[in-house]
Amino acid sequence: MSIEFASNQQVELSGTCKVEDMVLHSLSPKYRSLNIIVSSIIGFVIVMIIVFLAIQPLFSMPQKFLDYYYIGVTIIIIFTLWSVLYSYLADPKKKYSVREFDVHFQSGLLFSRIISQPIMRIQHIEIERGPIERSAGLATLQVYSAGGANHAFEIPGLAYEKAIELRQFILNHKDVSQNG
Amino acid sequence: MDNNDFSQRSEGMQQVAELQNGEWNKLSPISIIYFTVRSIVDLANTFFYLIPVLALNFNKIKEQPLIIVVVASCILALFIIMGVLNYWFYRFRVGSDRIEIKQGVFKKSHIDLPFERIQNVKLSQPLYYRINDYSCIELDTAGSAKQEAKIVALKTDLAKQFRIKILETATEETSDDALASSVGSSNASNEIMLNRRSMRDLVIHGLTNNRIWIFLGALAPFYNAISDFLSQFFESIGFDAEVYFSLETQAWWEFGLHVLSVAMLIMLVIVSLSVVGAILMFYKYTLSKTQNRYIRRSGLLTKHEVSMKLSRIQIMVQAQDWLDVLLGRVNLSFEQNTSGVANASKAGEQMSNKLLVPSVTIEESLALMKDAMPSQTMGEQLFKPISKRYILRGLLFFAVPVGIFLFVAIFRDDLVVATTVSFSTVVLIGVILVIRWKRWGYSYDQEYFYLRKGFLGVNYYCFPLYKVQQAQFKQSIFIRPYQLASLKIVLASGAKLIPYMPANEVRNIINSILDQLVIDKRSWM
Repeated sequence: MSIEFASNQQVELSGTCKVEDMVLHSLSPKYRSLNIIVSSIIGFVIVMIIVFLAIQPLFSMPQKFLDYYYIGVTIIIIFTLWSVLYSYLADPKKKYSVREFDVHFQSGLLFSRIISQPIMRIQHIEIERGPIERSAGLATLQVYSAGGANHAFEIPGLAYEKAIELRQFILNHKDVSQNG
Repeated sequence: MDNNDFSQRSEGMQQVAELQNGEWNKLSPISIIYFTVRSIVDLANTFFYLIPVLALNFNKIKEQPLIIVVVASCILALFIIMGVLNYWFYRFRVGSDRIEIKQGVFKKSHIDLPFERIQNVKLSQPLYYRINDYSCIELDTAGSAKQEAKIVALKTDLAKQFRIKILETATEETSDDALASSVGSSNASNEIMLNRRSMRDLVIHGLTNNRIWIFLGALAPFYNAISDFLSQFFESIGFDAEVYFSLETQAWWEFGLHVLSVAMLIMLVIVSLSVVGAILMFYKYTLSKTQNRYIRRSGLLTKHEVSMKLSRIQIMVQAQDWLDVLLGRVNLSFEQNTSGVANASKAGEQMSNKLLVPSVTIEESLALMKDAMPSQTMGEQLFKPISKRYILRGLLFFAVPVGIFLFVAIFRDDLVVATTVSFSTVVLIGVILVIRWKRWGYSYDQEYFYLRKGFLGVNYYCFPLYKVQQAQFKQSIFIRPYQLASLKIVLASGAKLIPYMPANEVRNIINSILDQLVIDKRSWM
């Protein structure tokens, strides 16, 4: 089974393509907008609940709550704005790359890192899709090695077809079929 | 090997063959003791926190001794009944390539375990099994199975033969060469002794490593009783603690001397208990090697036997506490994969993912490491330091905030005190950071990575590059301008992070690991 890969050009003889010279691919552009929308909605809903509790006439809230609820609202608004800003700035930094024998994922705004996962050490692969990801046609690829669940290699925000393609590439890889 | 031994061996093999008839076997009735003891221990573990309550009501209970006797014997009878029931419902069946165990009184379980999935076979012999020479076999599985597979009572020689049988089957799968496995079976009992620990070594181990937790855990419920006893004892010999530790009635040096002598006394008790703990755990320690396995045997009351396949070793750790550094001793451990091993969560030295050689000399340790990984050259490595910015980071992100916090907290009361306290805290943290920085070191060659770190003590790590599961290049924007980066390497036995290396070097290491894995198709297991 042959799969067309955008990254095929990158595959070179061993040792000639360095990790730092790789061309990295961006995640699906929907990923960032989805994150921004989700965190805005969550923040909005929590704020609405607090405000509703404060102004509704049905039953009386404790006086302390009425005195201080606007502080809570401010904090939640700041957090929401922060996470929206963070998604806006950090999500474009998330990139991935596939070479013939390893996969890579780069992330981080202030603390950047590149995780390199040799395909030979992969033990199993999962594609995870929550309801929100499903609605946007996105998927998260999770790759597990013997390093344990704490060190699962994860690429979020992939178009579903792309995730399937990647999984198939890894599953068909001769290193996995021999050693995994 | 003499004839007698050989005939015993073949007899054992025959017994193993008899076991493999595919019938459901029952255990020897002696296992009732095992099950009884285990349920008592389990209960004690679960209701450990209730013991203080019992201790508090001890005086009330003391008034009615008959009730205690009745209650205690009822509980004991209950445990024995549980033991008998457990024994009654326990069945095991050995096939040609798998073992099945059915057990449980209320919660039944059925374990079906193919031999090739068995990663480790551990024999242990509790004290009460020693009378008529029985052993437990514990089977560790690779994979996520959390179930405990244990054959609770087998004759020791049968258990040993059975272990050889299982391990042979497990290796046959990897070495498809039939010849190799037949050689393996004839060699399997030819063990080479690599290391044994004398009583003196164990005493040193007890001194340098705190093995006292073995006791503290067991003594916890009796702390009150002990302190009561001690205060009464002191009163009876006319020792007045208040006068002894009073600053008003004596000079400061006298006071200091008193504190020092009490501290010494406590230390003496702790250390001697720790020595006893070390002896309990490592009595008659031997490390021996068969064709491709290390086998560790030790224990005073319960004898343990742990074996580990050489190829499963992920990383070798040479750990030295500060006292070890002074005495020139090393705790060498071989670690295998932790993820998914059923017994990984067990604490202490019983942990089967680690093979510890306690308090060997440095030469012995280097020789053992050479034996485990012949091409490794830990002894000759010159370690490169990490960047001094590591100290700066600690100062900026930890020492200074703590100092400012202390200053602000005390400021209201006294400016001088606030300044002194916060300043000395910053200096103290700075000193710690400098020592830690001095301990950090890394080195690598074509095949291996060497790492040194520590604080008062020092640990050396060595692992083969081809066993790496995942590599990470980490760089914050604070260190990017200085061309620094941190390297994180994930092994099956856990991750290692080396901070603040030159970024180029991190890239080179990651590249060479990945390049090596392109060509080198050896398994990490």
